[in-house]
Amino acid sequence: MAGILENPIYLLPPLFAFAIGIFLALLVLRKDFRSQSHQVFALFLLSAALWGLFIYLMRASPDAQHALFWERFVPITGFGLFIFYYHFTCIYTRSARRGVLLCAYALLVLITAFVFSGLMIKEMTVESYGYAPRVLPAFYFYSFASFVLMVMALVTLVRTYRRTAQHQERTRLSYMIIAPTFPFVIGILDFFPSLPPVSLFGNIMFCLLTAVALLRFHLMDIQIAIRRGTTYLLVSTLIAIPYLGIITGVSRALGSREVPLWVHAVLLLSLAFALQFAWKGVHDWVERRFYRNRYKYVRALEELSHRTTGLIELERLANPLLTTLAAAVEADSAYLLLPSGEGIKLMASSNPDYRYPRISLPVDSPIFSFLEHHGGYLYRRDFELVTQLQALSSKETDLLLKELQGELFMPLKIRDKLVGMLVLGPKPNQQSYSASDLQIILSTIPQLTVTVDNARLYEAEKQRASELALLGRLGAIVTSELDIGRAYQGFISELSAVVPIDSSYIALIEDEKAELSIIAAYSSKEPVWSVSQSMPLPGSGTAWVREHHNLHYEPDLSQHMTFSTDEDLRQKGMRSVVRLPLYGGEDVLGSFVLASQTPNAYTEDNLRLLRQAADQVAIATQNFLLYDNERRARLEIERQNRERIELIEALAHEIKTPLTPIVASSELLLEELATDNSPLRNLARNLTTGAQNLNRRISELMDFAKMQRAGLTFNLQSVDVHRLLEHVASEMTPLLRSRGQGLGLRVPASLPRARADPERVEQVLLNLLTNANKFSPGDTEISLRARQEDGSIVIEVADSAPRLTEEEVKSIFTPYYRSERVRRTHGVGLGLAICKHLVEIQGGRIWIGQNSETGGNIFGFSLPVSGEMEAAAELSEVRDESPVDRG
Amino acid sequence: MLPEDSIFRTCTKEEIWQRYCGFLDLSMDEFMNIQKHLLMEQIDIIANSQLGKKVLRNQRPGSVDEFRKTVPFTKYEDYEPYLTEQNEAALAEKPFFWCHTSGRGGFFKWIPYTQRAFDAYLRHTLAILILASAERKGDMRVKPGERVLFNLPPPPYLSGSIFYQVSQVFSLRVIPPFDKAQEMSFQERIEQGFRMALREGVDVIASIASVLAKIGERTAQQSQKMKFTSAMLHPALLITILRALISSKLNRRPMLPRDLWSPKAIIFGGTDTSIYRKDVAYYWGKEPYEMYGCTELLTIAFQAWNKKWMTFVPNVAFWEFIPEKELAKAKEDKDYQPATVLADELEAGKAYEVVFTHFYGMPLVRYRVGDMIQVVALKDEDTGIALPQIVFKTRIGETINLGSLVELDERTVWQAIMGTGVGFMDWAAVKEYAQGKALVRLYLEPNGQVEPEEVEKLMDEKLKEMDVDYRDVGSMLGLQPVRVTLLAKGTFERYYRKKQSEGADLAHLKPPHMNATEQAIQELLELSKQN
Repeated sequence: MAGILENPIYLLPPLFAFAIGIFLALLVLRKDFRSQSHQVFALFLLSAALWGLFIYLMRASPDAQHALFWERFVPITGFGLFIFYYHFTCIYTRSARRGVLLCAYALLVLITAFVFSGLMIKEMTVESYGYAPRVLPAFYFYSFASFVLMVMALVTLVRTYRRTAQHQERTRLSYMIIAPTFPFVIGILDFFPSLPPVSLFGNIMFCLLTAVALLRFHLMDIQIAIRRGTTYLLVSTLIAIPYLGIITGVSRALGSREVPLWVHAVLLLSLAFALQFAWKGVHDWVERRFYRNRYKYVRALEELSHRTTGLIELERLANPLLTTLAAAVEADSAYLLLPSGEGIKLMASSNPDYRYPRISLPVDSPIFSFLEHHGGYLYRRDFELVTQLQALSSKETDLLLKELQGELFMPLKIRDKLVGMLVLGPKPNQQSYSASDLQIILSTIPQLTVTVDNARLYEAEKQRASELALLGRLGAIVTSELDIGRAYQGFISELSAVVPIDSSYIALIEDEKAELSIIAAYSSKEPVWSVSQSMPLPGSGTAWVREHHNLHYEPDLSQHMTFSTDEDLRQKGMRSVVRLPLYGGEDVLGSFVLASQTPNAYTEDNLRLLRQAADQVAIATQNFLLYDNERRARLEIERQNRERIELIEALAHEIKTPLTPIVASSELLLEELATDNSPLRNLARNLTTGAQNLNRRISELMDFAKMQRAGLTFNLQSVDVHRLLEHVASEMTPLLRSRGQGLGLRVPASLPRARADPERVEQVLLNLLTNANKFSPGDTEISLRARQEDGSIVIEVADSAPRLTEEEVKSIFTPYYRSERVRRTHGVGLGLAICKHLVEIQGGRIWIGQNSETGGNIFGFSLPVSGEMEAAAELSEVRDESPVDRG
Repeated sequence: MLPEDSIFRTCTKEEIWQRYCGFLDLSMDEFMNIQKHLLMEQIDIIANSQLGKKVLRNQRPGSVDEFRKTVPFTKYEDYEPYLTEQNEAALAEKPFFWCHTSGRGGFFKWIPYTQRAFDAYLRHTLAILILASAERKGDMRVKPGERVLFNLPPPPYLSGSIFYQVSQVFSLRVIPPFDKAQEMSFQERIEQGFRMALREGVDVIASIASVLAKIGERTAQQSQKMKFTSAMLHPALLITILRALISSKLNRRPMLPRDLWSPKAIIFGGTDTSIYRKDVAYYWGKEPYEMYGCTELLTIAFQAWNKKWMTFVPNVAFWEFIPEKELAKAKEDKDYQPATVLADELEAGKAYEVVFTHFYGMPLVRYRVGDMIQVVALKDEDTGIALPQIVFKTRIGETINLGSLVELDERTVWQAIMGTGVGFMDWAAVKEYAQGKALVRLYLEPNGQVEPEEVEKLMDEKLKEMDVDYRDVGSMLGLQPVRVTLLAKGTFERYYRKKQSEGADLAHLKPPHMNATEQAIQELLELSKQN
């Protein structure tokens, strides 16, 4: 016996069972010492430990008598084990039956009595493996009672399993249901006396499985455990059979029982290589058997995920992905909800009826913040359990639970930030999602998340680009047009392509009047506002946006109206109104108001874009205000100028009326005294010259005044320049001679005709020649010349007068300009200004050059060449419509 | 199976705890998120109703700040006549049921409860049952079928209405049953309830604190001269009494309710809770559990399993609080609109008036319920609750101000009377003036022989012990400010019966403890003379 008893394989297992039992009992009590279920479960484990201890003591007994003593405790602790397990299941499932429990504990007393009265075990025999009891009929009663207790525990657990919806809890119950089968299945072997006792191992498994079920919150899905177990078993079998076969074959072939070590080594290496193929094949085979119909969808899902990594178009990928996913997990439907500006929208679905973003949750929906900040996912029933979800409004709950019939809500996260939510509908027959379903879903989520993020980035980029382009166009409109009305029409026409606008306007605040004035308006149909319309500022939406420095959005006027002034809008069919402040520096100048006939027309994206567009409108408004101020100032100056011109004209007219008889009389007087050599003649000449000078000045003044009023008339025609210059030269010669000056006329014979008014050209020439005469020293030559140059006829008067300074050249054509050197001479400084105007009106230009020959100046001007074809048509009157200088 | 029963049958303990008591685990941010989200939903719901438009002044605030800036405070009068006339067309949602209590002026305050609101209160009621019976976090002792001894007013009073509705969705054996209780007077119900509880046992007691204290006291007194009657022959009753007798003898003390019953939970509501807490714990062997609510809102705050302080619930109303400083300003300037703080802005050690806005389509908006609370801590280290911890302080208007030096509230006066050791039936205190100085006149019905001067002296001593400010009153006023008038034995009982015969409502069967009307005091004095 000593040899048997010293056998560690025989002695160690019960000691191991004892240690395991104690260890697990301590763990269970440590987890929740006060819990009644934990206390009873700890008793169950302690019974198992004692059972192991008594078996050990029995096996280690020096003789059969001692062994019988310890063996008597084995059925007592064994029965206690089953009673405590049953008691535990009653507490755990909250289905305690006091009567049944009392009976069970009474049975324990009875069995103890049987044991100690010798009715259960007769004696101990020594078998090849050790001691074995010779049992009496009461032992079968004990076995039967244990069996009944275990069946009752199983029934209790199975009932609870059936009414439990939560997957995790069902898994836990599965462990508790499967665990007791181990001692029973393995314990059957103990009824064969020839076999060594192995029920001990069954009990160890029983304790381990149930304790794990109770202690661990997250348990491996029982189906996964079975699947993996099957795969391992099959692979082991596949490896073991050829190994044993080959070893046996080799051994026989060699005729020896000893197989050389190298054969084992080669065989093991070969099988190790084969193992990976075997594993994959067996794994696939088991998976296929397990998933059955779903297998092809799971494969399709894997394939789809693999091939679509680079896709960025959400619709192209997400809808088929969700459809395949729903089929793979046998879900009724699958939906993808993503944040999109103003809300969380349904963006993709396995259900074709729900593929439009008409379903949305508020962007701050509590379910989103919960999924973002708490790990894991949500089941439908969590809506009843999680406090944070009590913040969900009834609309949100209805949408998620009734409309989408969501059963499982999975977050899509990138670096702990939620980018979307996957909602899975119900499974057939109210089945719950199993761990393998979750495995499939969880393996799909990274792909879905990447797709969503890619699509989101792509969409955001697209949106940003289109917004930038739009804002660029709006900016161009604003800066290229000073007229606010035209700018606004162009602006709204661009903006309405992306934002719903049925009516809009810009209102300016006029604080001094406590009014708003509309400076630009737009209406797609019936005009709602008109430009220059005024309305009271107090109590208006514009007053609100000025006070709050924020936009104001009224989503539906028929539901709520913040400002009574919106009543007009409502009556004209407008439902949504948004008002944005227009800033000029830090002050609010007014508001940019948009209205739509659609309720809730403006999305968060729209409002964001409108905020930027309002900046452009503000620029246009400021431009308008600057332009308007400038226009007012200009009109005022023009008014003053006009009054001044009218005064000059009236004054000149008043002077010229009495001057005409003076000029005429003085000329007659001079003629009368032509032969008189007395001083009277000189006096008469002086009188005539002065009167003529005064007459000319006044004519110039009147011409200038006419020009200013755009009143000069031009008779443009084809002019023979040659003849005109000859005529002017002959007219000026007496005057020039009076100062000893000569006039050189240089005109080529081939000079073409010019298109001009000959009287006005003559006026210009006379003016220039008079100036040359006046400022050139005596006994010098003044040159009058003409030539053709680039389609124009250039006429020049070259003198020997002191050269003009740069400053004089720059200003000499300005009306009333008189340089220092001419201040002493007669004149009002209008002659050259009139010349410039007359030349320019005829399509030419006037300039001053330097006379290198004489060191004097050259006054030149150009006239357009008259073509043959246009000569006839040009015989029409042209009226000067542009004033010389309006500034 | 009733809907809530199925939760208890199919969910794990952790899940059940989470469902009903999970709000105690919220962070302040989560608490405020729930508050703000539900407030915005509430505005959406009520903004289009007739009553909602009236109280919101035709506005639809788009944010919490805008709501607080633009919507004025309201009192019950602002909802008239819609609520008193039970005008359902003016409400945002059709009520699930109506309930009422008495207003201070003697008229009923009717409050409609919506289905969604009831769902929230149902959870809170079950949370109260769970927490009241728990001794640690996650300790689930309540199960369907509990026997509840119900000593609170029956339907259509709020507590009765809610308990009745709860019993329709969760198995509760209410003792005495509501259908029978409605036909009985308050006193009959209490007697019948305890009689039934002796036979059937009891798991939970929901009661007014003073009633339980009185029952305890009476049981102790009567156990000495207990006589066996034929009613005691009922086997269950006999076993209960025998067991109680043995237990009291073993402990060498008179028989107490704790010997007769071992309830899982004792739930209190009302201002006298803290006064009777110790007595009830002694007589009944169970630390009582306190909750704070009112007719307008059943559950405002309640205690955790440690039965120490109370925590506001996040999902029945939007909470605002008017600090004492603001109240003082408003007292000086009637036109001043006091500013409020939110739950995450409360400060420990300060007192606030509670202002709330209903959720779930119920009608009250920025409603000043007239209660003062004291914030004792911003979190409870014992339980790990990270939300402000409060105690109920007083009802505004139920205080007696003495020369602006001290504000005596009902609880202080009550505790002082208890502290004198003078046995009493009931009391009423009013403010009086003598030689131009403010005094407290206490009308007390003592149980035994005692002199008024003696009670005055004891009261003065006790108040000096309890209230620091009170100590200065005597020296400042130049006299001892407590005056006592002793009422003859049975005065309050006669008052009760008189009011009962006049058909007075339950809330008016007794005079209020603080600031009773002159008429009520006169009636007491006259009834005292009738002895």
